[in-house]
Amino acid sequence: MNVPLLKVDNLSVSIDGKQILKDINLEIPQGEVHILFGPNGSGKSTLLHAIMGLPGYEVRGKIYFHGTDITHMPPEQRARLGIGIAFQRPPIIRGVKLGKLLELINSNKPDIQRMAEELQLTPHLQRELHYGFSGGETKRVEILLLIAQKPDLLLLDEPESGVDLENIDLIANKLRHLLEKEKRISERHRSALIITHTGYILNYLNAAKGYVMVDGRIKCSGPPRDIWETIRKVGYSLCEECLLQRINEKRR
Amino acid sequence: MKKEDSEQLTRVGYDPDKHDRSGSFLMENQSIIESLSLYEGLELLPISEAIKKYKWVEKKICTLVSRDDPYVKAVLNTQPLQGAFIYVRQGYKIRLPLQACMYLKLQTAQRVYNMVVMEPNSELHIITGCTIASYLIKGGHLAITEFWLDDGTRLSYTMIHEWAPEVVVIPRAAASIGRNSVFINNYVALTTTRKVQMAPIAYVAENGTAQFSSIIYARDHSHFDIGARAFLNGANSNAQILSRVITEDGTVIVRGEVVGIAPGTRGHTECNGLILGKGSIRAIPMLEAKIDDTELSHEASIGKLKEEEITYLRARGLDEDTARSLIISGFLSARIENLPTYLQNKIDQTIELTLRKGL
Ligand SMILES: Nc1ncnc2c1ncn2[C@@H]1O[C@H](COP(=O)(O)OP(=O)(O)O)[C@@H](O)[C@H]1O
Ligand SMILES: [Mg+2]
Repeated sequence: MNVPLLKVDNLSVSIDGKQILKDINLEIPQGEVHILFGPNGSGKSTLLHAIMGLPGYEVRGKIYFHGTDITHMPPEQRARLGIGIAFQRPPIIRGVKLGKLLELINSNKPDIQRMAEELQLTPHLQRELHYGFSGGETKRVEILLLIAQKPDLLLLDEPESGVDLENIDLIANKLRHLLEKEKRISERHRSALIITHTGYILNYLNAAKGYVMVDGRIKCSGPPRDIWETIRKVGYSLCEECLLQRINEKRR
Repeated sequence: MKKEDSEQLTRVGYDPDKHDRSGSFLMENQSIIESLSLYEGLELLPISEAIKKYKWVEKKICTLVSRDDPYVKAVLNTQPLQGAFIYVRQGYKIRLPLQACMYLKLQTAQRVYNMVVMEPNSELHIITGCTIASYLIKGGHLAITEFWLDDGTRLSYTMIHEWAPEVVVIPRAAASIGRNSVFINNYVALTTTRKVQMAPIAYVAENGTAQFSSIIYARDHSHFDIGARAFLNGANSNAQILSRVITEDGTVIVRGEVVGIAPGTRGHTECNGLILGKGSIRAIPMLEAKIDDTELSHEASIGKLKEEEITYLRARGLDEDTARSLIISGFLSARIENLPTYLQNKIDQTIELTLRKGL
């Protein structure tokens, strides 16, 4: 199988005529986890939203999923094809119970009960979606919804931001399970593109590749741990020059 | 009972088999079909019989609502007076709901007088359904309901209306709420109705609570002018007037009036409105403080469906229509404090069924 699960080809994205993303190219093979780094406002969330097909973005270039051109598909159709997103800042939806939404997504009720329990969200099933949830609860709920969707491609927008260490552990282990990290590479069929600010997630998931986004462009890509190490030491300030160069220098 | 009648009545909370009911009352046009207490301590009679049985009943009539109101006059001029007399004896706490239904089967104006009397430390939950035969589109419903809650009582009164496009509905209601008593008044109306106009009144004594919730969906040419008024006469009494309103081409006026008279009182009125399509919502709060030691507030928000919420649900695989109706039914399904679960579920169910039918 040579067709990558996701292929983003020369993607440019504008909002209200203002260009946010410029000539993005990336490929995620089946079974791989890729990491997206970058300073605030660089366009990371916008990229995930564009892949998900959220409205309000003017898109040029192509997005392929399982080899199918999905560039102009509505989000619900992409979701049904197997793309799922965990939002960085999901909206509160008053009066809509989490349990109700889960039932609409996945009709296997006992399954949902069990998954909720594992994420310590059983009482939340009766609560209004994201209403009055703590940062950690919000992120866990996003993961729970993804697990219910069982997508082939997971788009995770800062799944561990604002979450305490114990809950990071819980979330990351669930993700590892969902991504079948205990299986051999050839047997994994789920992939993920993960935005992280804390790097914690790297300790749980063996990520194959990392990207650094600066000002709407992917400035470099490489081994995610090396990239993260460098970012931690020098921040993104030197990204303009090129992080990758420094990484390569360090290697030599 | 004919199948079509029982179906229509079931939709507004009437159970023909009277399962888990403490009492059942049914009035068709101007005739009382059924008036049945199934619970000790609860008396349920046609008001005309109650007037004969208890001397004090007639004296109470229209002492809480205004006799100057032309609609009140119109009901009083209908002889004999017809409606429900509901009487709970001291200390009886009845958790099973009493069902009362007003059913219009002729193209006339139904005129109803209801009286609810609660002796000290009693409790009752009433679900009232008002509806019209499916073959009618026109009619009228004039109703007066007066509530006397003695000290330490608890009464919830949940009204579900399902009318037809050319029906005019003018209810008048007022409650005298005794010390340490709780009055919960809920109103649900989700179908097209030419005109509904009402603003029940609560007179609240010391430590008493009056709580009004309205859930309105104004479709097509519907015109709703609804609200509530609360007079905080007793120290430390409180009132909340909450409305959830959707207009889809209809007109809605929501009035919430609280008057702080005694010390330590609290009142809050709140309206959340959602506009779909054309239509209008006017929220009119009115707060009056007659003393410095009273805390009154109001809150209103009116807007359209939030695109971000629809998008969020679409990204989870829901198509746009499903996403919209989920958000709309969520918007309407406010949790009502102090309401037994059964009645909350009935309200939620009504919302869901009506929306599913409408979309
Ligand atoms: N809906 C929007 N309207 C206008 N500008 C937006 C909108 N969404 C994002 N942007 C802008 O696009 C840029 C990238 O934002 P975002 O993708 O959220 O960055 P990141 O996730 O990397 O922090 C920012 O400058 C942001 O202000
Ligand atoms: Mg972001």
